[in-house]
Amino acid sequence: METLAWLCLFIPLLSVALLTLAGSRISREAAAWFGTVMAIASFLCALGVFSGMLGEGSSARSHTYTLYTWAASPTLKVPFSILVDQLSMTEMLIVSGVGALIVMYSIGYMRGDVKERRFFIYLDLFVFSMLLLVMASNFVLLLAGWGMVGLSSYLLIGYWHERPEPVQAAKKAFIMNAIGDVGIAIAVFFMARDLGTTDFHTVFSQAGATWGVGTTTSNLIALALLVGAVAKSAQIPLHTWLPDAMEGPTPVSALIHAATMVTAGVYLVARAHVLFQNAPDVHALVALIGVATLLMAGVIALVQTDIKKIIAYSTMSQIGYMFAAVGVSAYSEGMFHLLAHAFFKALLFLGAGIVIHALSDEQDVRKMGGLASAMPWTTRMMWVGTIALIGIWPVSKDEILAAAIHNGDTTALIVYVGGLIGAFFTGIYAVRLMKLVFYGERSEFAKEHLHTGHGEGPWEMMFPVAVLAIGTLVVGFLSIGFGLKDIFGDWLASTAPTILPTTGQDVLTTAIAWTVGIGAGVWTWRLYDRPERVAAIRRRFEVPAIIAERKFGWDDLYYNIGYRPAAWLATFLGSFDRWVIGGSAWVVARTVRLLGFETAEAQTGIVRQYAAVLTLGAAVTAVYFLGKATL
Amino acid sequence: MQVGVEYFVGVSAVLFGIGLFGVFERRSPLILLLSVELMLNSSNLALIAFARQLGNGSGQVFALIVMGVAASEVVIGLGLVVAIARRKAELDVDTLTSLKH
Amino acid sequence: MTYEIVFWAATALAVVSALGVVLSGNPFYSALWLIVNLASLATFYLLLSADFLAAAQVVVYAGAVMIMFLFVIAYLGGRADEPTRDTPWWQFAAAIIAGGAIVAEVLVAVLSHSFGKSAGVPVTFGSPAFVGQLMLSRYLLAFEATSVLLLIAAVGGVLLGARRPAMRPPGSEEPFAPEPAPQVELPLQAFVMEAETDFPVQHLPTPDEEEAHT
Repeated sequence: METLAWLCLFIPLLSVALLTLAGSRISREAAAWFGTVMAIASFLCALGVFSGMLGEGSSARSHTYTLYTWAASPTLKVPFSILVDQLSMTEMLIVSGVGALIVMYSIGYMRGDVKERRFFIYLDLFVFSMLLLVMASNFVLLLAGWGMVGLSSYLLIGYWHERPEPVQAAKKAFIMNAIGDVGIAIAVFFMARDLGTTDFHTVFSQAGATWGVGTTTSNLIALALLVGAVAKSAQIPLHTWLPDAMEGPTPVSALIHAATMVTAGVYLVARAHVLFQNAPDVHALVALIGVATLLMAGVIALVQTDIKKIIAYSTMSQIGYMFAAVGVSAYSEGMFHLLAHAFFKALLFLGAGIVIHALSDEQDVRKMGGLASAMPWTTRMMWVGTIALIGIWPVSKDEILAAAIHNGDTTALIVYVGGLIGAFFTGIYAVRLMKLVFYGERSEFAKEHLHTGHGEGPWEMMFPVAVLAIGTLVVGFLSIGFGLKDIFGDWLASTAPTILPTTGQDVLTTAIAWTVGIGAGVWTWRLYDRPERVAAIRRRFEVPAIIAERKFGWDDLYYNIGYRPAAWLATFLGSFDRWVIGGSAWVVARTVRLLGFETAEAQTGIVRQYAAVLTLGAAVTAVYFLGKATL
Repeated sequence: MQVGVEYFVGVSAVLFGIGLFGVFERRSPLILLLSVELMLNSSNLALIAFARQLGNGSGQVFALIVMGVAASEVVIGLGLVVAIARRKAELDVDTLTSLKH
Repeated sequence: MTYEIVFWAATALAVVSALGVVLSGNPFYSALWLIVNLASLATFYLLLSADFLAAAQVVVYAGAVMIMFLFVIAYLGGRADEPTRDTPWWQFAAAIIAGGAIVAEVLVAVLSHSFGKSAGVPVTFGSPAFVGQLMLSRYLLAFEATSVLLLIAAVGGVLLGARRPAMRPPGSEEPFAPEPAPQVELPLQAFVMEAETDFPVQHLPTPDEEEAHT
């Protein structure tokens, strides 16, 4: 089992190396397929580890495998070791599984792109980095994976680097993620100083004794980790990079910014829950941030016109739910939502990608409409995703609300109320998306550009979407019918405690949530049959609509407090460098040149003058020596 | 020798001074060269005088080599003068200044 | 007694001939005066027991070098004469002072020191064998170097005297025109500075332009 775990981790890296070395010697198609096969191989290895783990007792399921000692100093020891336990196993399966599906999807989506090979290299690099992140058994290695997924994200967002917007978006994403990296680094510093190691088991068992509960140090550490999580998961206040990241190709949006990378923050909080339990104030902050984000993102999603941005804000909102869950100690509920979300959000993104691909890369929903008749299968699969998003099937979101009710304290109640309002918004924007894209009258643009001559899309794209749809349905079925969530909770119990609401609370919250969600959906459906009513509502809520369209002013804020001072400083330093430093160099050069010219005047070419000077020199020297001798 | 060495050296100094005066005063490169020859010969005289005074033959060897150097220098100098004359330039050291900066 | 008479006579001759060299208007006369000077110096050498050198002086210097001079002066003919521009009076005075200063210094140096009796030397002092032996043993390197120097001088002389390959018919030589100074290219640094800064690059005059001005 150890071998399989290592293989699972390193196969994608091997793929990166081989594809890089092969370069243009292999065809683009071959490179794409090779990348996909390696990702699938990684998933199979993960499955192998999983099956091995199933056979073990629940307490014996935590394994730490060490490859070698990466760094060892007297004060800090960092082994390159992975931790395979239930939590990381879940993540491994999600990352490699959904990852493999999306890589396969990319074969069809990126076909024809001249730099296809590079894309697959980056994708496999990402898979490796994310696996490293979730499999790390100490914080330093986690940080390494953390940084590398940030790098892969940067490379992939800015993939079409000939255009300026993706480049800017990539920079924005990377810089904000870098702020998060600093947060985790600070936490690592504390651990290194006080414990001499960053190994998970050691840190978690010693945390209470070393730093106490509710002390400033504990709060600081948890806060530092929170900064990292917030940056990576695009929560308030470090969320502005996620919508811009939609500049990357759709598979990238699906994999990194929906299913895996952005959920890394949730994983971190779940993994380090001990540290958060020791800092109750920060723990509550986690939940509050989650609630704030889910509400804000939900509102913004209502007014978006780009299909990918709608789904992006939806992602931000759903991760808010996950944060809210782990913030009220409902770790397994949060992770379960993460699992379900990986499926249905990737499904939604990839389905949107099929639509975009069929409409020659058009992403504006106002130019779509009436596509259901031309793309029936896509429409059905998107409905599966939408139903999951609203929280009907599976009921992962509702479980969070149930846990909040069960928890009962103030923060949890805020979570509940916020979550319910969020469900209302979710229903609206999800159904709005479907209605605008697939139903109604086909727009002029769509009529012209839609081409589904060869079926809705290439099979490499349809097949993964179908798998994801089936997966969503199965998870939903199991969650409702077979209490999958409880099984999941048991599975994770030894790594992350779980809250078990009573059946009554469960059913009640689910019922209320369903009512809200379905009600909002149906109302929206009927609303959009009549555009004049939509316009009327828009007029009534003019001001909130504008605030939503301006994304609540976050971009403007960061522009003014971040970019402008930095730009001013850069200009100032540039001028300083040019004028002061360059100027002084120029002055020196000029002076030397001037001196040179003046001194060269002495070389007149007149022989007798030279003779005269020589004589004078000789005379002076002679006088000097004579004087010395005689005196 | 019956005359003290200081007399010989005195003569050498006088000749040197006259040669130096010639270098400063005259403008023809030929006469310049002749004055330089004068100076070289005067230093030869000093060398040989001291060689006799000290009974050391090195001074004579030195003087011989100086003679050789002077000969080479004259060859080059005259070659230059001829070359300049062939190009119809005026033989005046004050105007032959193309070696200036 | 004879010794001193010869000495003083030779001294007078040397000084007079030296003055003749530097003060003659005609380079031909200057060359002839120099020959007289060389002869007087040869006398000095004999007085100083440097027989070989006296002979070398007469043969090499007076016999070869001065003949070369005379040849060139004869070739140049009228062009060898001094240009007619006058030197300013102060240059004349300065020349005298410079010469006088050197003389004074040397005299001071020499006369302030009492030398004592001269060394006793064998009869062979200054003979060819004596000089030759020194040159080929202790001063071998100098000897060889001097021969190389003479070789270089010979080569140089030939090169300087050689005519240009393109032979022009006699009479068609153009007057001496200095080649135009090559375009002084601004060094790379100047270009780089100009590209990177907006300072007005002050155009310092090239040597050519300066000459045109003055």
